Amino acid sequence: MNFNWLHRYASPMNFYSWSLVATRWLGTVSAILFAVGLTGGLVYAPPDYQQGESFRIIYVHVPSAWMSLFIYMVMVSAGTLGLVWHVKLGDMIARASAPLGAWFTFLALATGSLWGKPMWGTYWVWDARLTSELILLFLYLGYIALQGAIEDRRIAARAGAILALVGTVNIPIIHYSVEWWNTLHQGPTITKFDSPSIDTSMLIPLLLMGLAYIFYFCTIVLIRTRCEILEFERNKTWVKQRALEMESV
Amino acid sequence: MLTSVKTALTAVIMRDLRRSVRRSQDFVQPLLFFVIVIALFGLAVGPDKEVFQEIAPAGVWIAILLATTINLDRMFLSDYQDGTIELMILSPTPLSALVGAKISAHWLANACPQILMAVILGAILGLKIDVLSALGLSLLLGSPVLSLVGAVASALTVGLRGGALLLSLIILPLYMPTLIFGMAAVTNAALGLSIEAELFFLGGLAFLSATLAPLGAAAALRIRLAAT
Amino acid sequence: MGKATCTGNGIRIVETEFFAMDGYAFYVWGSYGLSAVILIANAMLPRIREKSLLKRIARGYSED
Repeated sequence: MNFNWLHRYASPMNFYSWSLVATRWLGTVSAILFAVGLTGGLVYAPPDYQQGESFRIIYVHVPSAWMSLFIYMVMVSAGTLGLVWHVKLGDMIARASAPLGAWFTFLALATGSLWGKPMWGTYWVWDARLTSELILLFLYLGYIALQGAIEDRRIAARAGAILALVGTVNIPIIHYSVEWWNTLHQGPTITKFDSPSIDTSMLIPLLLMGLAYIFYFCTIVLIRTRCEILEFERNKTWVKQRALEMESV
Repeated sequence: MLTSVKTALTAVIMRDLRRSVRRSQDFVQPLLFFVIVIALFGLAVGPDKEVFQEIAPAGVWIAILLATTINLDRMFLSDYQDGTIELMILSPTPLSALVGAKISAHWLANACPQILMAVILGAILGLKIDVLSALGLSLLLGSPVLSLVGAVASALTVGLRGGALLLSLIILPLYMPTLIFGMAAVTNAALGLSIEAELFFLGGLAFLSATLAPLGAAAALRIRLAAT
Repeated sequence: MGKATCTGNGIRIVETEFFAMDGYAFYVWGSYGLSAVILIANAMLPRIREKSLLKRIARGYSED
């Protein structure tokens, strides 16, 4: 199979150019989605029968949680591309996405905690999902720390890819072990996350916010990847040329 | 002269074991650390015997986790520093097999004495026999997982500045399933329930890590050594 | 009870209801505020970093 087209677009130099354009478009779409989603969620969605207004936290909590998992998969895939097929851009995208993944995991935990207090009466409970999400945060932080500790960026990227893969094998194990452990020691709380029936007027803003977060992530990761390219390739001529162009502007 | 795989692996294990016994750092100190953590735990919980006996297995498990984590960075360090790892990479014996041998030696020298000590201390501190046997069995099945997964992290961070702390940050989230199943076994034993399921899970984790971890650690060593 | 209804004095009442969030103001606005701060910061900082990197490279720092 001819992968020339991939190598053309994935070469750091070409990527840098087209991502500048892409960032603007993705950013605009994200901003629009945020505006529509927030209006729908905060203004038009009716208050919940049982939880009142506190349910509105769902519109920042659930998308953050979705992103925390989605970004981990992006990180692993990009890292594997770099590790196995030596696609440099993969290394860079993996390193660039990790801090965003960590922030979204933190947000999921924090907003979930703030939602838990009015809903369950407590800020924290050793429930399967919360504990798994906390462990995910530690996995992200370990990954970031490992990459920071190794000076050669290319080696750091490969080492990080291995760590991320080990984490991937672990995530289902972690989730099911915690869930299994939790059912043995039945907690006093029942999570309502699994209720599939949600009113359309509440669901649509949620989906819109989810999309908004995804477009936001794509925008920001492109910017961060450009920074990584500048760091990885700082000795290349094209980088120096670009920098001089920007300076003269 | 071609060495058979078996000879090579035996040589690696014996070399590591001999080295552990000779240097107190690799052998006595982890054991001492383990006992100190248990002592601190007992001190912190206080004189109430009932409460202590309920929480003691958790303390033992955490002490094992900490003692393993603290000594993990030594697994590949001296071989990394004197160039033995490079020789291992170049040798005809598969690197993952050699790594597996090193992990076995590490487990024998570090975890086994600690498990023995845990059971002895448990008996001294008056843990009931079914709790004690559950503790022993879960540790026996769980500690290889700790050594194996720890080896991957150790290979990733070998020789880095601040490596030991970084290693513990990386490894502890990965240790949590083992801890959960180990403690589930002990808690069930305390309640008089069967611990078969938990032991099967721990055994499954042990087999999974025994198959994959040496490969991961070997890959990590190759990556780290591409630098030098 | 829709938020968009307004009767005479209604608009003022609807506004304060909106901010009070039925007494859950701390939790709801806390969550939204925290998310906003983190998302905005993560949007601005990489751009600043990119510009400063380009500047440093232009000045000829090819080593870190």
